[in-house]
Amino acid sequence: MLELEGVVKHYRGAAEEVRAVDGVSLTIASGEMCAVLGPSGSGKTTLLLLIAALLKPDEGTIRYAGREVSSFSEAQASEYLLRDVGFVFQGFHLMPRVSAVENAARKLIIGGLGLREAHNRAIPWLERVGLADRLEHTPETLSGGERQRVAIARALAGEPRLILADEPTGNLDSARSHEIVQLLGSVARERKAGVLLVTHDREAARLADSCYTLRDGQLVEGGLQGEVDETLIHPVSAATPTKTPSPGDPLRFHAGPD
Amino acid sequence: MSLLELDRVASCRGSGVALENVSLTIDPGEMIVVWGERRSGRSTLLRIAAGIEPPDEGTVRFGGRDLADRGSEILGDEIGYCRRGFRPERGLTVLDQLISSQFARKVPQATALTRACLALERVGAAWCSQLPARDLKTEETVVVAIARALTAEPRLLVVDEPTIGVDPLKRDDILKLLRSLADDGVAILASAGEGTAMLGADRVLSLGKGTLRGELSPDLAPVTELERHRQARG
Amino acid sequence: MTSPVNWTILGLVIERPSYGLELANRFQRVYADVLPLSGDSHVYSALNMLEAREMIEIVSRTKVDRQPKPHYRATPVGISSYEDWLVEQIDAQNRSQELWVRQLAIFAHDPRLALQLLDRYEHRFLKDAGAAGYLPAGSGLDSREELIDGLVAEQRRVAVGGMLSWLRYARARFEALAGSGDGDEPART
Repeated sequence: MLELEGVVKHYRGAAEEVRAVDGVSLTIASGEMCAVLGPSGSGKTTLLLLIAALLKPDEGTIRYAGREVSSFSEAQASEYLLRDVGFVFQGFHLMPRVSAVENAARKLIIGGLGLREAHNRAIPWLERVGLADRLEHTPETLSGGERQRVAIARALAGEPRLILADEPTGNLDSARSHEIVQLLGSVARERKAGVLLVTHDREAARLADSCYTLRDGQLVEGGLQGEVDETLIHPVSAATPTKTPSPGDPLRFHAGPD
Repeated sequence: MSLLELDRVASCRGSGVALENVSLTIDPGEMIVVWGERRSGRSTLLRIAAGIEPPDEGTVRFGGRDLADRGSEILGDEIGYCRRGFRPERGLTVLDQLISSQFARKVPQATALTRACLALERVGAAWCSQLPARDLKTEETVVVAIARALTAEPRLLVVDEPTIGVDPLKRDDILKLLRSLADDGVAILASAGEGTAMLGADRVLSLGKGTLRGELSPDLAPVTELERHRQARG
Repeated sequence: MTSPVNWTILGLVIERPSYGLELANRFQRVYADVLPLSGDSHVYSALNMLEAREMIEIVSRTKVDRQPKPHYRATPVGISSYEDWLVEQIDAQNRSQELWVRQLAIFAHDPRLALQLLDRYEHRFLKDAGAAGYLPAGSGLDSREELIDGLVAEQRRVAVGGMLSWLRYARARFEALAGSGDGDEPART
């Protein structure tokens, strides 16, 4: 369903060329969840941007359902992001003071659906992620794990075949992280969608069907047992908050790991 | 070929000279900081380098192209600019601000939303995406302004005094962010009025009486220089 | 008592009362790169001197390898003397800065040499500015090491900023000297 072959993307760094993605080949089948481990920073994010058609590769091919993603026009890329791809991020990016239903329906509304239709389609997804009794709750009254589930419902409401999850457990404690990743996995299987889980969290990666480590721009199989020697936390992301925000949390910037 | 080249640039301000015979070369992925006292011409230099203001004399070349020749073509995608003391619009959340700034470049909504989310993630500010932009502290506003510029995937980011007014304990997080962007291949040109705001730069230059001094073009930097930065980040 | 070694050892005793060998080891660890010692005997003679001046006193004798070693702590006089000495060090730093500046000023007779030297100073300050250590992520829960690193890094960086400003002034003065000698046009402001 998603096929990358020999994908290369490099950046010109000050003293040398940085090959953020250096000949990556990867296949994700329908219903499969694939984890990519590695430090935050250029490589993993670049990979996501390439697959999301937000960046063009310097070499190689990226095929989604047989179509070459790298040759999409801007309009085609936008359609692709709207209909085929669901993104789940570390930060939940929910609209404040607005209900879970409205948040989950956001992408559908952007896609041109009427309000009522969009809400009707979003509600079953909120139920699927276990928020049936939280439909009218605003983000301020939801826990971190619940907020992430609203974000997932938003990503899934459009019925994407490809789910790109970028550190989805970054703001959650380990119990919540486990739940979220399992949820993504089971939805993938049910909907025959593919999930690419990009993360530095080994425990999360453990739940995937396959696992790779992105190291020096190349994909290496494994990484769960620490057999690929990596420091997974980038110094910049080490300064970002990793605690689960609770309802009413002031959400302030903390420097230093928690 | 260098990414940005200023060639004998001059600029006049009222009765005085803001910049005089300023030449500068920036390579991709370099972080350059220009130190100068107040009214040294720092902001003028940055605006000219970002293509926002034309010089009175001399040439500015980006990727080999003279900026004066670009006519109506907007360079916004390739050079990002963060103004000093940027104040966000009232009423918008951080995320919405990042989305709306892309509409001027006619970016379709779904793409704009995804790019906005990714940019916030990249700068470590995802946690504030739903907050009103006006509610942020100074250092948070700076980081969000950087994210806003990043949604266009620029090759050069010009930032005017990124740490001014920032709590001293938070200052270095901004400098580390700029350094990590440089390591990822985005060239950074920043200005500084204080000794504390220059950390992580590949080259620091000083601007005084309109004249730029220091290493005006990149040396063939030895490999050890990069290591030092890795250690400093480590 | 002028030796910085003596005062530094007094500081270590104030931080945590202890016996000679432990103090010597701590000295090595904390100050070796800025105040090298030729040997441990330096530490013992310092302790004797401090005790003689009643800045430290023996509180007990610790048994180390079956030999009783005196265990020292600072007296109130010792603590206030240490604080006074630290404040006086500001004068010492001022004097050493002034010496450095006066040594440059001998080039008044040949301003071009002075300007060359100022270029070298600037080159050095600019290099230092980009390279000083990052401040640790100060969260109020710093370890002692982080506190020291932060204080040192900030002091160095603030000083660099100050020196760059001073350099501007110095350059302007020497350029004026050089200019007046050749009858050049006065510099535009």
